[in-house]
Amino acid sequence: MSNWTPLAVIVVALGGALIVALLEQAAAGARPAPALILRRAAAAFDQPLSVPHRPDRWLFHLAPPLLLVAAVTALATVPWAPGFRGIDISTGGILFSAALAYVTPAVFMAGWGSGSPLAVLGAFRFLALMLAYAMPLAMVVTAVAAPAESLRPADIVAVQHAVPMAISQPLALVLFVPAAMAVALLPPFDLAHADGEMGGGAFRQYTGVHGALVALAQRVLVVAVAGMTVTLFFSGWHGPLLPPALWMALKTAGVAALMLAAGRVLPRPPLEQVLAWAWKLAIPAALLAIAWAGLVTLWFYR
Amino acid sequence: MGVTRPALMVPDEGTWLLWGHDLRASGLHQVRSPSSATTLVAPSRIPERLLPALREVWDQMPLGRELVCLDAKASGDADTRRLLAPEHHEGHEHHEGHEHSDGHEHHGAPDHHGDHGDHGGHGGHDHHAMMAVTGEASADGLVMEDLDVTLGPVNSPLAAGLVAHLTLDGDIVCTAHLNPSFAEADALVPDPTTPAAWAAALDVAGGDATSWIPDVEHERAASHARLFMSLGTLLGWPQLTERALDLARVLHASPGDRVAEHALPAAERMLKLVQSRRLRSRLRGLATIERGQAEELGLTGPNARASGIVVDARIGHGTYDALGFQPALADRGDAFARADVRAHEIIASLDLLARWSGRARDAAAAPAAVEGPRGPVTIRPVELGHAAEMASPGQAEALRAAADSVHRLEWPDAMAAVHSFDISGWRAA
Repeated sequence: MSNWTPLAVIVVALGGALIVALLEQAAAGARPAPALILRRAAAAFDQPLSVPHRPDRWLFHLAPPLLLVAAVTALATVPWAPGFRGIDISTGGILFSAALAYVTPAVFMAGWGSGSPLAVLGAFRFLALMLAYAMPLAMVVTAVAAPAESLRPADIVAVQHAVPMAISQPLALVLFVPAAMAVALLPPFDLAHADGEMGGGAFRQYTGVHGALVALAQRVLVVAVAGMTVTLFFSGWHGPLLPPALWMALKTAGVAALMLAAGRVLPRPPLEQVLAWAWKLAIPAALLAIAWAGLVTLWFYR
Repeated sequence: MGVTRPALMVPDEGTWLLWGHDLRASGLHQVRSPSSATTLVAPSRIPERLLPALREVWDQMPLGRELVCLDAKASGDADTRRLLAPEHHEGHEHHEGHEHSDGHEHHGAPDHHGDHGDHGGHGGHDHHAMMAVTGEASADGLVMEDLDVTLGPVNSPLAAGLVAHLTLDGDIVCTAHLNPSFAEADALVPDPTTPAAWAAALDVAGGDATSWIPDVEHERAASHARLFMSLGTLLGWPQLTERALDLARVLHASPGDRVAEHALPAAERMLKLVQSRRLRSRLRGLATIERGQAEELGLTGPNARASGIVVDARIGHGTYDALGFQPALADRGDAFARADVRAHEIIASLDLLARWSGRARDAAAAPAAVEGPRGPVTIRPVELGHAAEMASPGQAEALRAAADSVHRLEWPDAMAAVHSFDISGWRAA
């Protein structure tokens, strides 16, 4: 990690958010228009702040920056190339999960701070969702770390030079992706802020700078979870011919595009069904994934 | 598709298509949140009582917003452009125009009505009343605080014009009161979302038995397509919304004698989604109205047919019989059955249109009622100088059934349940 790392992470965050916005346009069938996205982002900063009628002011104003900090911190743990590994610490996988854990209080603060019933409802829904999905998320990270004998994301990439974890640990991948999409507020798991039924939910009151920060944080979260999916399961930057960073960027964009496409073709499931999947299926399956990771490590990685 | 601008559309994109305006072709796509919309599309004239809600939505939109006022079948006594953006009013009515904001200041003034949210723009009332811990335990044994939420008449999960007063126990809906709030429409078109059906009812009253059939069937298909557009949005299923929108646009754009030929492929694509396991698992068993209950309530139209009641004003009509009409039926009476019946009615209407274009017009006795998209409608002109008697039996009953069906349902299920009854936001006769 160098002195340039924080700046580089911010550049990746902003660039990645723009690419995710373009992918959203493409997923919706529209022609990607970067200039339009940038103009709208700039216009948001001109927009006056609108404060709800009876907010909890501290929570209301602090939630968007907290969400953005959580997203950027999670993104900072993603290694993009051998020479650019972000926050390259031995417990990077845990730091990633810990950073994502801060999304929950940020969303809850947004909902509670708005002081309106639907916003609070959205906040509680997200809390219930994350209580259920945080565990399989963290458990899968440890499962994937086992063959690498390390929680350092760069080490997990290194051990996949021959076979990606998507092939050796498919169950872990199947568990990780929905949990990651849920924490990144992506449909069909956007129960906290569903536009159609919740009218924006926990974020319905945010306009102007706040709205821009929330939108930016959501897209940075998508980059972070997509990047970590590639890191943990798709061999990271490994690939022929192209530079490592380019491979990592292409794979991350591909995973992000698939996540966005899934949100268009799958209807939002009811909350109780999502929670049932988590508590009754995902957590036991995550235990199985950990056991499988142990066997795979013994058979193939020793 | 090129770049489109996000627009808040009142009432909604599907209804504008019904009224002859393809807003997507004009470069607009519908969004639900005012803060992400750059354009507000509204009828040129609106009922006065809608103005506070529209103003609240307008105020939430970002600077650089534009107001597009279009002629609409709905009418009202207030000039939308003059009232929403008076400093840019040019004294013209019924024209499209652009508007720029006047830079309202909203910075945190404690008395400023920033709370736009749960009312969906309704009049700025503060409906999250002081929370009182009641003595009644909820289903899980906890004594919860009741929440009062008001949705509508615009910018809510429900149909435009529908105002819902809900009491929540956590995220469980305890009670619901639904009121269609739009009442001013043309004297002979109480519900402007189904103008062809009301026009046909007038024709029938005048003794015309058949000439209105293509228009009514076309409107039925378009109205149901509009419903599926909003269902896709409600369920967070853009794929369904897009397919329903494709169908609605084809219905709008196709010439009369070729509409069936062009629209059937799009309708079948949409039907595939409606009958998919994804929708079935979401709506099955939701808000079930069994046959006996439906008969007792007096439901009509697709709501009744979804419960297995064979009631349709087209049955026994000579021309419809000659066209081979069969009513679409289901028997479970749940939200999925109501969706399934409507999807099949789209196909049936297009089949009727295909057969209509190739046949001579039979002389038939005028029916007692016209079967509109939501059920039968009748107009009986009385004496000269007196208002006509307009009736749409079953609509008030559907409203009651929808309000009762949400009891103890979780919020998203409650919204889906109300939506499944296809309640109009206009208070028809």
